[in-house]
Amino acid sequence: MRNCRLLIVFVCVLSFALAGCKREEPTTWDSSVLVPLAHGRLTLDNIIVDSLLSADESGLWNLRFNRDLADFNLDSIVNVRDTVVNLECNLPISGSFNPGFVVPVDFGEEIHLNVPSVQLKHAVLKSGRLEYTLISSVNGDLICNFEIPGLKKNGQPELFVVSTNLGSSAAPYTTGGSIDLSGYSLDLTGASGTTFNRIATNFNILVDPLAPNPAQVIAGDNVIMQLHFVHPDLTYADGYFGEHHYNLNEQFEVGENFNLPSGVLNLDGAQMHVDVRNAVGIDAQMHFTNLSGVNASGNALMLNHGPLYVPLNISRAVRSGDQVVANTYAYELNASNSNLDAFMEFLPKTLNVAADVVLNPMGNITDGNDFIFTADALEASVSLDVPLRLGMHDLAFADTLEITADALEEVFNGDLVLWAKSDFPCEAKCDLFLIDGSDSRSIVENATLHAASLTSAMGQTAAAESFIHLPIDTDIITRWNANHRLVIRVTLNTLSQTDVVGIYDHFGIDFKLIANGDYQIHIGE
Amino acid sequence: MSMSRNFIFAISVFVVSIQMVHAQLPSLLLLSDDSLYRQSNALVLATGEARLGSNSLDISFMKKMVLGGHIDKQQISDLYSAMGNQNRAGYQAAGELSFYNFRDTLFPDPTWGLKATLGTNYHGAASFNPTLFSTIFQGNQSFAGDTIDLGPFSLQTQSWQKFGLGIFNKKTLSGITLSLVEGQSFQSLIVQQADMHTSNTGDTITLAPAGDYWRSDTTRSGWANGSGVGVALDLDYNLPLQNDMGMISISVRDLGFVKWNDASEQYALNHKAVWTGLDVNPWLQNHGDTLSKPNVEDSLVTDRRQGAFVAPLPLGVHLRYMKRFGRNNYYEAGWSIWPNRAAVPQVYAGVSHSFSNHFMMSGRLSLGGYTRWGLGAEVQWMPCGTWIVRAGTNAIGGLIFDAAHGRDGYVSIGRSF
Repeated sequence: MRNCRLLIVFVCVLSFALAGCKREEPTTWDSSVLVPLAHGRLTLDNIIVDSLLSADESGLWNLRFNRDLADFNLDSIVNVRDTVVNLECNLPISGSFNPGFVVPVDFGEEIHLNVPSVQLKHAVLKSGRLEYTLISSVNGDLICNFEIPGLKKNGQPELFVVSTNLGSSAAPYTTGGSIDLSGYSLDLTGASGTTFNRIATNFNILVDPLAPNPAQVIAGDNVIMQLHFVHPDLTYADGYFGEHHYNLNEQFEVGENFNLPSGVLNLDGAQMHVDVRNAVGIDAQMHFTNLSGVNASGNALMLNHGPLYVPLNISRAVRSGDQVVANTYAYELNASNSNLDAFMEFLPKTLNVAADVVLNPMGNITDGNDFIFTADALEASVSLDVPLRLGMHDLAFADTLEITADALEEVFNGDLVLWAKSDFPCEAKCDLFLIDGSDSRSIVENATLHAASLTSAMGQTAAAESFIHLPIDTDIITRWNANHRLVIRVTLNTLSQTDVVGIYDHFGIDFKLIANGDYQIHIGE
Repeated sequence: MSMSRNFIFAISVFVVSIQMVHAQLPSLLLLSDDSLYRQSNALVLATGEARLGSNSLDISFMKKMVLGGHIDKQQISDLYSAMGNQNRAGYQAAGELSFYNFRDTLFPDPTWGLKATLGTNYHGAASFNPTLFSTIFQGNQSFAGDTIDLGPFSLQTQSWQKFGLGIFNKKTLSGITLSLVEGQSFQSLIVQQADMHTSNTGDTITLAPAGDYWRSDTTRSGWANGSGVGVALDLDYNLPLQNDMGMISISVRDLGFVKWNDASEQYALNHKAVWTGLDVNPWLQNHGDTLSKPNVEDSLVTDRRQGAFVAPLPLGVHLRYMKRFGRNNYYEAGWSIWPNRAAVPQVYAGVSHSFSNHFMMSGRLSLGGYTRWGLGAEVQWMPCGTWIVRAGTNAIGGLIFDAAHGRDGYVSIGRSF
């Protein structure tokens, strides 16, 4: 029996010993690797937003930039405010009127729209609502027909047919509703057809033919139609819009889509177009008083082009039916008629535009035939075309990237080797460092991407090879994982600051990224 | 009753924790003067063995590969510098429960009885050259500008379960067992040649293998999952020498095959793969795109075939000769072969001393197999006269020293009723 117990103890000890044999950590070792990680070809259109870049027939890249200079907001001229009108229909006689009887009324009201500074004759609404409330003090069941001949949709005048029940002076019967004004047209010439801002109306009343009793009318009873135009918005209007003066003062960032560099830039052949287009049936006068830039240092430079600063008389557009023929005016600025090259080399960060604008400077010379389609009115825009023929001296681009990627779990000690073969005829020096507040850790400084040498004036270059070693260690990986920010600074130089070189669409940088160092391999995690 | 519960507990723990069957029956069963167990109704014998070895990798390295840990550069360098032209490593593990029916007579001859077995088996073997080892564990940096041959290389793993019925001789325990084999998993990577070139600058790595990769149904996992089915034959021939002077044993294990099911795959690795890093151009041109890793496996494979195939089980053949000298001593010699691509034949010699009819100790010196050489020891014990216990190892050094090249152990526990 003792032997049998020993046997069981033996089996148990053996079982526990074997049960301890399980994996508790990954297997790791450091392997000295030389491995290509990535390869590709970087071209200028990979870096700059497509809409800003285009190549001309020779393949020369042009930086193109378009911007509306001003929003004149002309639809505000014909802005119809919320309007409330009470149209009162008096019943002049007393009596007991049987069902179906047309009750005599005393009514001659017009709707006066609240449009203070213009004299509108016609308009088309793109949105808004008309709320109505009918109030009857008549002791009888009535059918009230309220018509607005000047408010039409698809050519049909708007008619409100409203049934009422018994009311009294002390407790009038009230009912109401609303309609969506989208797509309605307005005739604002009134009942006479010669005035403005007025809409004709008609009102008739009969005793409801199905009423059980006659209506008891007392002279002096009335039926009131209360109308409320809520947020009426026009898509078209005509009439006389009055004389208006605007002071335009706009400021916007030039480098919204890219970080503007600092340093010295020499450009050649930049062109700027300032275009003014008038699609409104109003004469106008525009007078640019300032078009200047402010660079990153806060210095300002005015763009000099004499004709731009002379008052421009802008003729009204011509309308035939729904077709509008707009009038356009253009200014072309280049190196020969302006300081545009210097202005661009100044690297403006902000552009300031100031202009005085007068509408209808000569008054109502068309007898109230101004018109406007609010979707297409008066515009001024600037377009900039900069052929990338550049001379650069320490032209520096810098960007800071927030590191938000998943944590790197790799352990690597060694170099990331960037091999690059560049067609660009400019040298690039690159600094990379990780920052966290005032704490900074450089990854690489002054890593040089050599410039290709020009072999022809038409942009043929002999590519230059460069090797850039990025030393990576556990400290850098730790900082990377601690969500530091990555600062990239690239400084560009052409061989000569004054002699410009073209940047063509066939230029690119072939690159390969290679890991050369000790990489810790993990298995069994 | 209490004893019965203990016995069931012991057997259960044993079956779930012991990994391997030693190839041959405990010699004490055949050499002991106490043959009382043969007069019992039955013998239940549970056996297990686990074996891990290499002629070039040491226990420390293999332990870290299996159980985890950091393998430092110096250790890798030491192993590499001591490697031969072609190196081997392997493991084998199994557990088996056998039931010998001594009571019933199978044929008119009362010496034959029925036996039943249930076993699970795991085997893996690799053969590799030092260049492959160096490339994996030291990296390719030192091969910049060179073309190296990573082949020949083989890696085979297989696991299976056996459900067997057989007959045995009640006097000698010789017998034959036919088993239904349930294939669990199979992998075979055989590469005759694999040229790898790393360019001087490291911008290109080219791999041109020539070989095959076969694997069983990967959608199934676990014990007896139905990935394959087959048959196996196990043979034991035990010949006692006259006048109880010793014995000769010949054993054949796992003579059979498995037909792996229709979802199995066969790949021909014969395509040159060139790796130049991720192509980031699509990402550069379409900034919203995500980078996707290329499938290196697809680059290497030109022919994939899905379907059933037949693969042999890893056969083992064992020969043992024991002869008495003096009153209670035996000398022993043996030979084992595993005809696969990695293992070499193993020979061993040893001596045993029988302290009584119920207790014997042995010492052995072995050479070959997956490892180099080993000094082994074994204890056999028949407590209570109805139990049989055997425990041993072929490499004592492997249990003590991490610098040893093999570690194994085997245990048998049986009881007669």
